[in-house]
Amino acid sequence: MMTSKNTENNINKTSSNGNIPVIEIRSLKKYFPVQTGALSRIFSKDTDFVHAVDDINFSIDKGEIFCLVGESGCGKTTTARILAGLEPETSGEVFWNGKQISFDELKTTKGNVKTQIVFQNPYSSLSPRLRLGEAAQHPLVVHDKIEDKKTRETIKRAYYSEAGLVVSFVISIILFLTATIRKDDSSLWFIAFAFITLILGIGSYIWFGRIQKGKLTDDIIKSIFNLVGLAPPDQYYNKYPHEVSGGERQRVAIARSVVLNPKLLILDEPTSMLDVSLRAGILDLLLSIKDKFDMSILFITHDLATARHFGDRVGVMYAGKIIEIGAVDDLFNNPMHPYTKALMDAIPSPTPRDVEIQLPKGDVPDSINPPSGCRYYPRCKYAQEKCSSELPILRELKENHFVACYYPLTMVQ
Amino acid sequence: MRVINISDKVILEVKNLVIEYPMKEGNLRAVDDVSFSLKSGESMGLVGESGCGKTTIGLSLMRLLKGGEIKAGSINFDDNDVSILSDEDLSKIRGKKISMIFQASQNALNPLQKVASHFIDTFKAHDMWSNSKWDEINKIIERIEISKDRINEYPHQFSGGMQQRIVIALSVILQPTLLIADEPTTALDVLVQAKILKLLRELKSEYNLTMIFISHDLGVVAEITQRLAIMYAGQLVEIGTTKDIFANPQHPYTEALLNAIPDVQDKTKKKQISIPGTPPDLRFEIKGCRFASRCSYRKDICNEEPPELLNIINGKIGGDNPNHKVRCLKYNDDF
Amino acid sequence: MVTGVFVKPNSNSSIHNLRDFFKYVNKNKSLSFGIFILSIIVFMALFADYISPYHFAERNANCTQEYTSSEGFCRYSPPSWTLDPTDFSHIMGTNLLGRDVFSRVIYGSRLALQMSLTATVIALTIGIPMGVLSGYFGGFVDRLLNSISDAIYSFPSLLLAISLAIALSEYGDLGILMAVSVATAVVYIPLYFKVARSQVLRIKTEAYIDAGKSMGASNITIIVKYVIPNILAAPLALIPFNMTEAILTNAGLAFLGLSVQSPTADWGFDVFVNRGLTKVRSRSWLILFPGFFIFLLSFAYSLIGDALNDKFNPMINEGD
Repeated sequence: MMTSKNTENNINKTSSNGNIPVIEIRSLKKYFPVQTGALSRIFSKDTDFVHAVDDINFSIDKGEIFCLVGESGCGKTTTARILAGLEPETSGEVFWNGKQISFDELKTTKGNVKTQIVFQNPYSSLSPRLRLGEAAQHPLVVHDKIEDKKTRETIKRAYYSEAGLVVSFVISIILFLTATIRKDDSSLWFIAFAFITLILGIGSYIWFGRIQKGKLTDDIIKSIFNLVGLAPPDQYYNKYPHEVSGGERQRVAIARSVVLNPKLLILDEPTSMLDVSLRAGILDLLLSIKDKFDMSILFITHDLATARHFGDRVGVMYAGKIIEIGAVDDLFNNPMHPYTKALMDAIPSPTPRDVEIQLPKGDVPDSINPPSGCRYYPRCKYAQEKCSSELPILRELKENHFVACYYPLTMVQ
Repeated sequence: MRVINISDKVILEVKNLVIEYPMKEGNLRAVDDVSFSLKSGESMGLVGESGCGKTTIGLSLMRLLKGGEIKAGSINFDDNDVSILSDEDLSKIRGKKISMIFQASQNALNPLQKVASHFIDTFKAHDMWSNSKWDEINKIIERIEISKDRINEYPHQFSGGMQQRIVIALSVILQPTLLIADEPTTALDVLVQAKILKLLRELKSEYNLTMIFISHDLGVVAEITQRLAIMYAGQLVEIGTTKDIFANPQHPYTEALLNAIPDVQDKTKKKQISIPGTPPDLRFEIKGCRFASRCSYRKDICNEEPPELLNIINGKIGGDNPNHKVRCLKYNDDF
Repeated sequence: MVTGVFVKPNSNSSIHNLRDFFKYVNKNKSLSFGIFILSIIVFMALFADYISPYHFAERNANCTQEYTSSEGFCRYSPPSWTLDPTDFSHIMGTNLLGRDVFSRVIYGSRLALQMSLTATVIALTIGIPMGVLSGYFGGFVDRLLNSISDAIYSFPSLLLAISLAIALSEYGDLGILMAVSVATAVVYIPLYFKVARSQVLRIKTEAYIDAGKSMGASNITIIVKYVIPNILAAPLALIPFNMTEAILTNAGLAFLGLSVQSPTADWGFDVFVNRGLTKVRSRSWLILFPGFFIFLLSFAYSLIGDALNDKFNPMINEGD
């Protein structure tokens, strides 16, 4: 393990210039306990842990797009979820604009919006029962930020009418029951009242909760819909997610995340579920939104090509560790870690090539008992004895280009 | 260099294939007048966006369409017309002569069955099982880089990439003539994907397979095919050799697709351009070119006159060379 | 989580609004037939006062001499049209006390519907929230609510119904209503619980729940806005079965002689109070008509329930 002094030295240099980064992560760890059967829980005292994220450091500058790339299971999504406040950390430190905060403070609460996240699958990130406008608007409702008075009233009325429906249902049941107890003529009145209550409840729900809410448009959401390319917004506002395409769903999800104006937008593979022809459009949109809202972006992806074209800096993750960080051009033109090189070679290239590529042997290591020393050494063709015993730390081998490898490629060649 | 043996024997010939899915609002014509042929040993890529009909074609070659109907055209495979074959004859072909690998086909492995018994069942399904087949099984298991000792383990004990390799082994063990691979690497990581592509390439030459590779990823297709058929909204819009199409895309859609993919090796950081709009709704009749609404070369005539799939050579329509065809009005003289 | 690139959205998402639902009803013959029967019975209950020829407690005296008792009331008069094809005064005959069976059948639909409704509402309002909380929070809450549900499930339902009916006998009809409702709820609370819980577990991994969390919404907001609307269909598809159960439990209690008090019109009571008659074979109208309506209502419920279940319950709808 690296010593704390080492850690300090390293991190101060991981930011690419002298500015104070928007967010800085130091020695973040996330271990998940392994679910075991009841019997083994009784008989063994130690729990096994999946080392999902194992001591990573990085920082994101203001206005920067930082990409985390790696294969599935390397911990990139877990990192994203921790930064979005969806998952507690195991240990680590986080600095926001240079000030140390706790990971709890990354969680979005009323009056505290630091990060927002866009999920991978647009088919699952929108509730099938919420209209698109309502879905994008909900963050504003939660944070009490709806400014238009009429919209606020309509939302409130719709909310009350939903509660009213339940209440009228309960009252009419009670009246029905009362009617059964009384056997005289008055029971007819009770039944009549029960019906009136029920009809009033259903009627007010249909009027306020459905029809009026269906007419709802909010100027903020309209302008954001315009911004994310859902134009004209009136056409989309009252549609349900199943009525629009995957690309349009993803645009709504993006609108929902930026409406709270976060300083850091986390994108968890936002284009991997979309058709190739739509991806570039979504990425363009994200770029324009980033400038407009003055955000930084953490971009999680397994697609190195997208990272190269979209990002400013890249961190390559392997088995819970960041093994290489650098500016995109630097890193992709001159990959220093053997794993980065292997990943780049493995990407099917649109230009047909004739030379057979060399793939690393074996599979991703066991995340419960990761290999000692460098995580990649069992698969690395340059591995030497030192690699198996000592864990390499991130070293700055070129300006702003950090590699965790004892025998980086430029030196081997 | 890869050695490719292509004989002149045409093994599969699809002619004017039309497939429709009956729907309430009218029939959805998923595949519209598609023709292509495959020579023995050749591998062809079928590329397009989701919903363009590429998977439907793949399924129709084995008559596995769920709900879809072959309305017209013929599928000639080995002197049989698959589209009218009786179920009995069909079952002799399915799995034995034509086999298919599906996307995320790891799910095709029965979790309660050991890997070995999957192989045995495959043989038994075609009455080909005998104890001598163990050698064949062991050979192919080694071939896909799984240790022989693990053959009696259950599918869940293998990683996703290994499971996919097992499925591939299962689909080639009967030595089929035609292998249809429907997005076999889509859900996999790049390193695993590269491994699978390599394996498929090697198996193809070892078993002399003819292959149809269905994918939305032009990069993947470039790695493994010699010919490409680009589909859009149920029609073939361009067909030609892979090299030709990548070097010289003729159809605006192919061109746009190529422009939309980022290339990690690309040092110039060429800007990626998305294709605006969405594919047309196939339930309704479309007048003119189907790509017209999204095309950057569009002229008024594109909305009027449907283009035909014609031979093209050196950027000029015509000639007898059927190796490169395109469906676009751009090449008409009066355009 | 890596899934296919072009996954189809939600499997049971073909019904999104009321219009889709009506389309589905229109297409599904058994469902529309069930709804047809049910609406007839509901119509009977609503307008009983106008469509029934007599009051359910009225003792009639307009029968032929042969079927008039010593006190002057009709007694076991068979359906009038069997005696005289043009006479429709008592189309389902009369009973021991001269009450018109047809009128009693019509009025009896009220109690049948009330019973099924009450029993369902009780089970529903307890079972579904329990399931939602259990599935959503997991951990200790899940274990606690699970054991409560199991404990409830272990009550023998009919035995409970009997003891409740006896204990609540002083409250008359309401006692029976409560006994039937509680006994049915005992069976159905755990069912609603389990279905709701499994549904919540299914959608809990959906990204829209995480989206709700990441926008800073409270658990209550997430449950009300994101969880409940998306899981409700499956547990609600159990309602018709729950209603059938209530009707049959009531009939079972009547079979044991624990039923509403005369003169309340109730199908179960009418069937079983006459069951022991020595001449019941020759007076089949006494049990045939009320019994038929018990069957009819539970049949309608079952038709509706099956159709809804096929559509909405993913536990049996997996292979679709």
